[in-house]
Amino acid sequence: MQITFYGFLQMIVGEMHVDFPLVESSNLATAWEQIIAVYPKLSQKELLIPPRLVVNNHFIAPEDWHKTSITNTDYLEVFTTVASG
Amino acid sequence: MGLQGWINLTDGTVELKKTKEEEIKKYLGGRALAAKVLYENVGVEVKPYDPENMLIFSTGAFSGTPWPSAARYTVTAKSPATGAYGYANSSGHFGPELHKAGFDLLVMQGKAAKPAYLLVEDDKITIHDASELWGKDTEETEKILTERYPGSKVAEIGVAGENLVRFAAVINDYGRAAARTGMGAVMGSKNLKAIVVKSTKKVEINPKFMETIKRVTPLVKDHPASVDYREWGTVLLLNFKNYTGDNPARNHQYGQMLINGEITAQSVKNYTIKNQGCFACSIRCARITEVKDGPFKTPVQEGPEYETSNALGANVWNHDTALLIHCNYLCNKLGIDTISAGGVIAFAMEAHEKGVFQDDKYNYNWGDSATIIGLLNDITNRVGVGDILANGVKEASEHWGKGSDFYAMQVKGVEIPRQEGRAWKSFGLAHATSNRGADHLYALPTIDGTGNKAVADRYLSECGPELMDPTNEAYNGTMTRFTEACNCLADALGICKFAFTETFAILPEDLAEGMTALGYEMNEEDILNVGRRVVNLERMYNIRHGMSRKDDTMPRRSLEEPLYVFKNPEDAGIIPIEEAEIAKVLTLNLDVMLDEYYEKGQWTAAGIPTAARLEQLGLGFCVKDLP
Repeated sequence: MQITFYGFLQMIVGEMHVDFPLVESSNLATAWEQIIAVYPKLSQKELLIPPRLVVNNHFIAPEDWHKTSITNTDYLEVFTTVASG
Repeated sequence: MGLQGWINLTDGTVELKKTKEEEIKKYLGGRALAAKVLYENVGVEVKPYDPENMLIFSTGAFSGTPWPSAARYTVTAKSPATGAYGYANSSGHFGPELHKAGFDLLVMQGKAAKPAYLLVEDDKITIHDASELWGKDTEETEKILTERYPGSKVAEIGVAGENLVRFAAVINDYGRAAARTGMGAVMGSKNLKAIVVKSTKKVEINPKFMETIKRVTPLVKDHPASVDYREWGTVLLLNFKNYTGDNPARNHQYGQMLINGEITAQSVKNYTIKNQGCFACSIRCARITEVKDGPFKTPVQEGPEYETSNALGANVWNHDTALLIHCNYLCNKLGIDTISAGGVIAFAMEAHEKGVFQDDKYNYNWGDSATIIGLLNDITNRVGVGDILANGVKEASEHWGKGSDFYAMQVKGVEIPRQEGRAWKSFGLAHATSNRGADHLYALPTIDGTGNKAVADRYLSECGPELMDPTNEAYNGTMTRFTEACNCLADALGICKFAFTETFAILPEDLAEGMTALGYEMNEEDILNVGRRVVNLERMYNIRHGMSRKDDTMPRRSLEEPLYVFKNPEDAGIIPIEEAEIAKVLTLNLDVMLDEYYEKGQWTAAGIPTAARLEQLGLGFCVKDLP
């Protein structure tokens, strides 16, 4: 799956664009867990707030992550809302 | 249109003028209108502490209305830090009260023969003796004056302003600061201790304007960033920045606290009683904190926010949240800018470590609480080394020499705020080019940081995809040109940037709609041109004072020393640093961004606006000042 990380999240991951192999039959919640396993500093435990996830140009609210199926052909964009100081 | 109070503190005369309609159309108000007054009245020959310098308090066209976060006011003067243009901006309730009292501007010139304060009531200004307040801290001053004038709002200086500390602040609402560029020192140089505002009037809202307010308010209130800042405050940023290299530490030797988890959003929350909002603000990012006991016992107070949490946290290598909260309280009480205070203390610690100066009073060890608290007091009272540091990092490094300019973290005489330009490139450019010296809020270029593609597509469509990469220099000049104009609009209207440019929840077209509803018809391009006009006017003020590209720079450390970002900053604190795993090595290529920034603004490669550009922006009167 193609992932684009923006802003601080890109800076934490170290790359803006990542090709991330998803386990089959993922929903967005489990996909995010897989991503966190590779990039643990993106977790809510570390950053306190959830990311904003956009799948194929559609924003998915956190409460809908588990209802949203996702495969390796989808395009995921990962944002955070906070930026400056 | 409101009033302008022109106050001559030397002879005690007050003249009231009406703001002209064309002034509002061309400048809106606030910082923008004050810039025009300063340009027209305070020339090169005037020094910052001369009576001829002006101290201008300004409110914006939206101030005091229910427009989301219309709480801010600006203080403008020739700055003792830059030697040229200066302003500071604050929030709370003072600005709206000043606008309710009928005033767009208070323009103070001259010097009172003895300490004085102003009492501003509905359409009326009187000058009063403040001898008994001189020498008192901001907290006591504000308490005395609000008890004397119940229901009033007060802005005052502390002892630092009286002693002309170059980064002295103007404090209002106890914990809100117009902090940057030494406006408190200019106020002190005029023997002006405080301004008390008490109004019985309300700002009248016409139905059309109210309609716009009702439409835009939820855009701000419900924006995810507003929700996050309401929950955590801006200290939330600490958790993000420490993994990115954008949490400047040990005077920018590092971009991270190498022991993680000690000053974080969670640790500040442990001392937080509640959150608080400014006038008309639904974001409510302020934290009300208290340290109940221990060596840093601190009464209930406002703050710290992110900038302070870094300046008096990671930058001075302080790991103790209670000490941070105590220092925040002290700075507000003494009346000094927390960003600059942290900057000068970090500079002193590094200079002492490198043997640049000797002083037996403190050990100057990184993070040492006695050194930090002692220096805050000594700077304020201009005692010992504090007297040198009270003039800021630039002058201290010139005084001590010995190569200390390499790590004197300032631009145009103003200490750098709490971003790391080597990590987040657009902020490197923003710090370098701000017309009030190093500053994150002058341009606040966050479009890349938030991945705001909608705004990028709409306003910056000529840029390539690299725009969205904060670690890439490409297109930052174009983005900064756009955001600096937008941020000027926030200051001109008296609104908070967190309700505008931090997220662009509200767009320039919404501001234009608001102005049109107030009777000043304008479209989005018209209002953006106000921002561009004022940036050029401020630039011309600095150019008149000899500034050019040579001044749009960053400290040598930022330009010549790579920044090592550690993969696991928490490990780097407990193992030898040379063994810590490095995630990336960052540098800053400022010149390439400057070239683009100048070109996009129609300035020469030397950073001078062209005559054609000035004429185009209605600044023909500045052409005579071109070099």
